[in-house]
Amino acid sequence: MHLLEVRDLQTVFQTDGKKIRAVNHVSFFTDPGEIVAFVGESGSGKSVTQMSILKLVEEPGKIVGGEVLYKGRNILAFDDDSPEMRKIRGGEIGMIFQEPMTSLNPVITIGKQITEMITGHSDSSREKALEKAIALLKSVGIPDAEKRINDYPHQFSGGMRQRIMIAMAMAAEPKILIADEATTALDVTTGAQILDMLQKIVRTGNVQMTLITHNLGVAARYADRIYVMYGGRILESGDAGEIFANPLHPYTYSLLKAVPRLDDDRDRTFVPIEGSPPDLGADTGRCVFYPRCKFRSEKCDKAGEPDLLEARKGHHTACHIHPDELKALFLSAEKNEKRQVRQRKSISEDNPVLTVEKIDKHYPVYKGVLRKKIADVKALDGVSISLYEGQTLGIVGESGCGKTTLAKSILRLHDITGGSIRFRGMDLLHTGKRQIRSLRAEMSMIFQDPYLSLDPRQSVGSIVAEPIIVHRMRKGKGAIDERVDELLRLVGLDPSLKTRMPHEFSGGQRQRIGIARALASDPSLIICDEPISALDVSIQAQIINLLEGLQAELGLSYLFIAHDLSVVKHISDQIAVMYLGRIVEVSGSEELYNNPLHPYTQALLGAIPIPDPKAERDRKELKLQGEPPSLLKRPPGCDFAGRCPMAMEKCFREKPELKVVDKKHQTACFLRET
Amino acid sequence: MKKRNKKVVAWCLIFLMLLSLGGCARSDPGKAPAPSAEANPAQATQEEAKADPQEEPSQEDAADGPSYGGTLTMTIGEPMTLYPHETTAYNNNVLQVMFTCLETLGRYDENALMKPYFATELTADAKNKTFTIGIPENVYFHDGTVCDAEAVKWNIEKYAADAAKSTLPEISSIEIKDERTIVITFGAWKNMILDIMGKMFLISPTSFDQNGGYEWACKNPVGTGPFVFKGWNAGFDIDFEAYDNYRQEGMPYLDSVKWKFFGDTTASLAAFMSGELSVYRPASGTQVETLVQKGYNIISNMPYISAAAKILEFDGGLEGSPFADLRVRQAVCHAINRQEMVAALTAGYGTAMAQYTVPGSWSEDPAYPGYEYDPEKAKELLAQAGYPDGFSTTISCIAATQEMAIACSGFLEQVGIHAEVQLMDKAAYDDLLATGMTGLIIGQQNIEPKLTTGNLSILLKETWKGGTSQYFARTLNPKELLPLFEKIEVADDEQEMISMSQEFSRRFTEEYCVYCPLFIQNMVTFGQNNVMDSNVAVTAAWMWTPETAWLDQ
Amino acid sequence: MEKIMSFLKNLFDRKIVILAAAGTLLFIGMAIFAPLLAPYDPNRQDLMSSLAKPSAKYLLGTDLHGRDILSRIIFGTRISMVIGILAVFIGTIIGSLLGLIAGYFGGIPDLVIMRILEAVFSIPRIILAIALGAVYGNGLAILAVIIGFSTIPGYARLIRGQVFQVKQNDFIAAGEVIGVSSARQILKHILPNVISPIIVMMTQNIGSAILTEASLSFLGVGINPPTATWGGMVNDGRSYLLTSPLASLAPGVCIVILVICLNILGDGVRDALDPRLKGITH
Repeated sequence: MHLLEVRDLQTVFQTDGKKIRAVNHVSFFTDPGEIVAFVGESGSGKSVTQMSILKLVEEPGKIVGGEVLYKGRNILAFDDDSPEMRKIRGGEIGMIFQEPMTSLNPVITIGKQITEMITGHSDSSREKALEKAIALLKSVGIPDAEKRINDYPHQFSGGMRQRIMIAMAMAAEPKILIADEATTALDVTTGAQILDMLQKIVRTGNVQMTLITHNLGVAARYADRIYVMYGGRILESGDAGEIFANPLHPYTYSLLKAVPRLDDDRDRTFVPIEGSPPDLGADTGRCVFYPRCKFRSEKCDKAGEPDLLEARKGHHTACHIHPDELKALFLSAEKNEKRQVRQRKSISEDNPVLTVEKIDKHYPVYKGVLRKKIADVKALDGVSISLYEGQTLGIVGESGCGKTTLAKSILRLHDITGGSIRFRGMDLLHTGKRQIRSLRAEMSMIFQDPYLSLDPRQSVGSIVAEPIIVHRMRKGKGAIDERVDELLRLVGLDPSLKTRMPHEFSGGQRQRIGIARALASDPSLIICDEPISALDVSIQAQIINLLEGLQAELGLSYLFIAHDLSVVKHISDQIAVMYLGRIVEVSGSEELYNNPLHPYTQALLGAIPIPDPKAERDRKELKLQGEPPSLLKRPPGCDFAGRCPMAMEKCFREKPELKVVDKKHQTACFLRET
Repeated sequence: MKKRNKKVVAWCLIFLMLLSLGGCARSDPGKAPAPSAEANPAQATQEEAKADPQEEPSQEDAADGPSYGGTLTMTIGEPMTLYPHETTAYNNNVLQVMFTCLETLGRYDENALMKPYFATELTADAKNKTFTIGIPENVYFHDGTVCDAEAVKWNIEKYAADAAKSTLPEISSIEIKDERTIVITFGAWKNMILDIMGKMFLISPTSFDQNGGYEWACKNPVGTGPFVFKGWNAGFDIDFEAYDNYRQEGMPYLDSVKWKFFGDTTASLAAFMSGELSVYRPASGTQVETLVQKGYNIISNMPYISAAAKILEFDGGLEGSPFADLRVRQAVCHAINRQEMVAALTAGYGTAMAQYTVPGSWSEDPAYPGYEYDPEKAKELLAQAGYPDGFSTTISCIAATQEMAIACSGFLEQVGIHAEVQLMDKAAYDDLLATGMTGLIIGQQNIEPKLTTGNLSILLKETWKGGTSQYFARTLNPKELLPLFEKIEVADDEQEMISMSQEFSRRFTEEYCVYCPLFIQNMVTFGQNNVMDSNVAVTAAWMWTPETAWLDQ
Repeated sequence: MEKIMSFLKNLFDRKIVILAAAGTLLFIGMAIFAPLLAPYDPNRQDLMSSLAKPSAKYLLGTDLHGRDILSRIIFGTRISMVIGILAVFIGTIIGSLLGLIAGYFGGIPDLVIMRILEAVFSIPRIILAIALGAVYGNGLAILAVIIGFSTIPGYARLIRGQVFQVKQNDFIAAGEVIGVSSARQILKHILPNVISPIIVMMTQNIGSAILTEASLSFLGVGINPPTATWGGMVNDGRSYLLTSPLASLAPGVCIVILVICLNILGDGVRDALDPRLKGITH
């Protein structure tokens, strides 16, 4: 008997007369002491599946079939509000969500919340519960747990709140812990710390953990078994190692090929999964992946929905094509891929498009009624970068490191405090407003969130046409329309869609619209601010390929800002690593991966999981402790000294300058100064 | 400058509004304890029954003469002064109160002609420009001093120096011919002298001089009248007591007279209905109707002297105005049905005006009926004047005359003149008059049968120019009528004056149509059933006869 | 089209909104077809049938000047509607513009605009309207302007808040990157995104504008007689309330019904346009 066994679970959402089959005949099991990962993109049904188990599906959702056997008892048979159900929810099965702030009560101290959890699920006294709460907080890595137990949730950072959530979930001593994208909203280094901690809890406490994630790397690094979900169905399941080494479903295979890997070859082209996620409202009677499947055959069209069958021992897949046949198909596809290796242009070093020299951006901090200035928050502190014609400069760093502030400074969206910015030799800081406006045609930007960056009240045509109209690049409606069509085709959209409104498009399509807008003014420099991080995994590759293609075709220079080092490494020629408003390391992207000099870069690289359990096992990594300090409390010495395992006494006193270590490799670390 | 004034006015208005809100709130509880209308008159009567029955009936009332005294309680706006020889005394409030204790040389008779009253003789001699006053014998002031020629002369001097200064021609000499005769010689002559001198009150020079003069006299009237001033309770009432030594034997019949002051007209109406007041003059047509419905007794219902005549004034003197054309003005006069207006707006307590004078008085030409209501004729006249399709204009008015303005607008609409009613507060309205009105305004002018005493003099002689009043700046000035007017002014013979006045009245309206006369709101005065012979407002708005008044049991 | 249909569906979800919409339409119909509906010319006076009781000839009786009350009410609808709509448009346009400027530019323009608005409009609306009316006279247009002006701060505040929200979106930053001028940003990108709360507030404000007009006409600083207005009629009939109550009551009831209808409709529009706004009062 398994700890949890789900059989043929079906959950349906009824909206606007349409039946969305969010969970479609899903069966799986989990055992104590193992980590099971549910991998899938948004809308794949991975979260709803777990919610259904706990009967937490909200209206208009409804569980319409199947059974959930927890320790052999069908818990779906219990009433929503029955004591049995309550005992299971939060007691036997704990959950950790993506946004801890919404799960914590903001007006009650964390101590009280945890002790309530403990007394609610056991008979322990208040004092005992408090003791236990402190012990729990310590175990999840909250420093000074005794003192901080009386703090309110908002007094903690995001990472700390997530730890508190885990402590709360653990308080009831659950047998199963479900972590629903628990680290997605967190920085890579913090996320890695938390996942490591969870892994420790599972291994030591004989708890079963279910990881719900879209990140294949996370699954590869932590999971024992993996279920791959798509369109409300489990398409493949099996041992983590087995799945990554020998994917037996075209979707799993394509996904692995579509996602950038940190250990990728610099010249690898991603193979995107074309098309967009399926519409679960329509019952096609076919394999859900059929429309996007590169390996589909006629058989797939007619044979109905494939069942999840055991292909090898413990390895199930839902595909009509025989595993051996698939293997062959994959191999030939890989050959084609090799041939697609793109040619890189040589870089002309003496022709910088953009030079940023020692710029500062300070925000004054006021206090009191008289608004007396008490301090400056140094969002950017002496940042210098150069970007050369046709090159891509990647800027990497965790949230709050000043990447976006840098982008805004370059675009003159706000004034900077000091330093200089030159664009093609022209000093941007001492240029009149009018000239700045004409320069705006030369520089454009692609934004992170394709839902927020497109005016919801404007048609796509109008959005793309705006730069053309503003910069008077074409005269007359006909000429403008023509250019808009051309741009839409360039980014792979059907020009006939230009009368539609943004909300009628998917995330990937919207990002294409954003790119078309950025291209509309014929810029030579495009600043990409996390352009793919809001997109689904399978879509990301499409956008990266599009950006690379455009660069090759139009000779664009990119300033590519991202927190995901694997993507940046893939697309960039040069990478600058930022930490707390300063650049700590700059180098060529291969060099940076192979020979990271700054301890922070090393830690950052180590924190990023690679979707390959084998590769994961072989990695040596620098694990980081703690979180970046607040900008208000910038340490006197090296900003990273407090977290650096190699910090010396000097590091706490002096700030290291960015210095050239060898050709094209600069870092700001005393360890490298000799 | 103008705009700023208006703003000041606007803010004052707001301020007043807020104040009046507060005022309303305060006055309410005062009203509550007032007993019901039916119960109280009887009660009041009984209290007053304790009167001293020492008076003898006068000769003419011998049969069913005054049988009983008591206290007559009346109300009016509180006077600012009770010193008769200053200009401010000549308003209805002060005059009526002063009548209680002071006497005038003359009084208007029922035909509104000035006749001697206190004086035994008032003789005007136009040729010699002299005016002779006869003084009765053995008349004593309330302070016991005798009222002789010296005292009268003293009064004339005070009177001529202030109250009558602007109206009376220059006095060359005041001569005491004998103890009972004074002859005044004027530098110029006007027959208005009779009216002006007739209205002069007499007060005791001795009291005036002994008590510190003017300041004291303002609060303490000492005269020869039928009642003696007892006390003034500022904000509440003024008391008078019968004068034992009154010159007319057997009078007065009442024991005392009390003037009460009320904050607002609703309170005074309630006081009358509860029997607290003997006599009441309603503030509005609505109050009139209420009292009529309740069956109260009407003492007077006359369109008489000094009543506010409602007239429609034209900007006929303004070049380019449609009303500069006589035919347009006549058309307006023909368009309005005055009888209907009287019926609807005054509930019948008004009198339609045919000419610019008190209807039915001696200066109205009985042979000229005025402009009859004839919309067809009006349209015809408009067409002749070049306005076959009419035109648009405005009628300015204040809140009190708004209903009239709307009615006029309604009549004018029927002949094609679209008149928008412009309601203004009093200050803005006065401002408009001073700076020059346009279109039409509803005017309220105090008119008297004697045409030469009123606004006509200012209009015809253009005395406003350079003066403070510009009220007639845009009114048509019929200069051709000035010689006739001047003849009336100096006419010596009463009959001659009457016939000339009638001629003037007719021509002023018929030939020049300077104004469109509408109607006079009658002075409707109500009295409790037991109030007899008070003659309140019977001959003139401010007149009454305290000496003859009595209360029936 | 689809959007409009779903909007209407949401709007008429509640029966009371249907009722209110029907009531409003009735009054709009009355305003448009007044000359056809009214039995008499509203200004035709017949002093001899002054204050007549309701009869077959005069369904609601007559006023002091013998004018047909029913006809005057029907024509009075026009004034109420015109003032209501005109005032709301004036208030919306100026208020939204100020709110857009204050919200978009922030900082000193925001401070100056909002402080001035707060200072000027801390004076109660009616008092302000009386003062302005006394100074600038009282025509239909002036009255509409005055009432419209008094609603400016409401719009400005609402729009300013909305603009602050919309401004956070990346598409505004995108415009800045492109070099879109401030005017174009405001008109093309911000305005369309804040239009639905404006529409909601407009529907709700028509009712209060009508009420203000009636109050002013009642106080005698509104539309000039003899033009028939509801407020003016209530005032004119006030003195005869005991004898001829309909002269005041009938127009008074009309004001109440129309304002209630408009307010319910406004609430309905609000709920239908944006359920998140539910419960916000202005």
